[in-house]
Amino acid sequence: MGNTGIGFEFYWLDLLDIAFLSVLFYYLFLIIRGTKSVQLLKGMIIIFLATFLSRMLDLRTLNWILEKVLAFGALALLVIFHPELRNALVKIGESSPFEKTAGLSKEKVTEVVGAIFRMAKERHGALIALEGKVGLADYVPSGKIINGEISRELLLAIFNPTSPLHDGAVIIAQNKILAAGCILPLSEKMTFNPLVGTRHRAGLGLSEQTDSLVLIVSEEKGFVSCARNGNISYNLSVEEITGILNETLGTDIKNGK
Amino acid sequence: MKITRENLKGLVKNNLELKILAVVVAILAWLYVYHVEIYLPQMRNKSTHEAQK
Repeated sequence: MGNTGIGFEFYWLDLLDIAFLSVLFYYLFLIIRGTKSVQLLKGMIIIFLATFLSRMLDLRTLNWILEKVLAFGALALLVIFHPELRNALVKIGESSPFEKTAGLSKEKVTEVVGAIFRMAKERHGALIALEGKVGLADYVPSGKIINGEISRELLLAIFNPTSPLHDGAVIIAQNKILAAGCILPLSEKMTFNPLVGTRHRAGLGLSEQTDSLVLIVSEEKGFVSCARNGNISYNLSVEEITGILNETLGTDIKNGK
Repeated sequence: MKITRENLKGLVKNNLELKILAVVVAILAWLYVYHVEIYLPQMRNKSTHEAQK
């Protein structure tokens, strides 16, 4: 492209540079969309633009102050965007072709689906996290290790309102109920359905930070929801939940293991 | 997903505002880096040469 004659040189490689930058910014915006970080990012962009303008207009003192703010801001960004950076790195790791999805056999899917719809009918709240490629070992110590076979009866017993473990989440990994009563991270999304409570927020929170599939049974409304990839679907039917489980935990179910 | 005209259209239209914002921010970032890393040093060099002459 060469010299454009408007005071700067622009080459094809620069176009590629901008294209890569656009993709990077797009994914950054996707990650932080709907969180408190949007306001912080807007603030950073305003300071960045003000610095640029002050430099162009040769406003030395203002530029000196803004540059110092930006220098400290770079450090502050690491602290402020810590959860988002963590999520982004986890997402990059998720896409690794060397990792396998933690499997769940067809029979176990039937047991889980049967249990959650029984609980929904009886209006017993439940929170079940199904491990994906990202391990959930970090959340196990917050609950009690069960390490038991997946069965409808065991899930019903855990989430029975008189059970001491009914308040937390059950973590299912490697075709087993790994732990119960686990504390999950809460979502910070501001655009959150006000009609549902902390259980849903926790399910969504985990799905934002990992690639887990989280099934949630509402105690008040008696419906089943499913959170994955930072999105939540409410009031799902047996067929829909089974479809999602088949789609997400795909290979093992298709193979009929 | 099959590569069809409709699918490609959907891919472009999905989150279009966010994509436009990303391109605008990328261009601004590129301009800033160009200004600081290339344009200003060039100007400085030019004025030093002129002063030496």
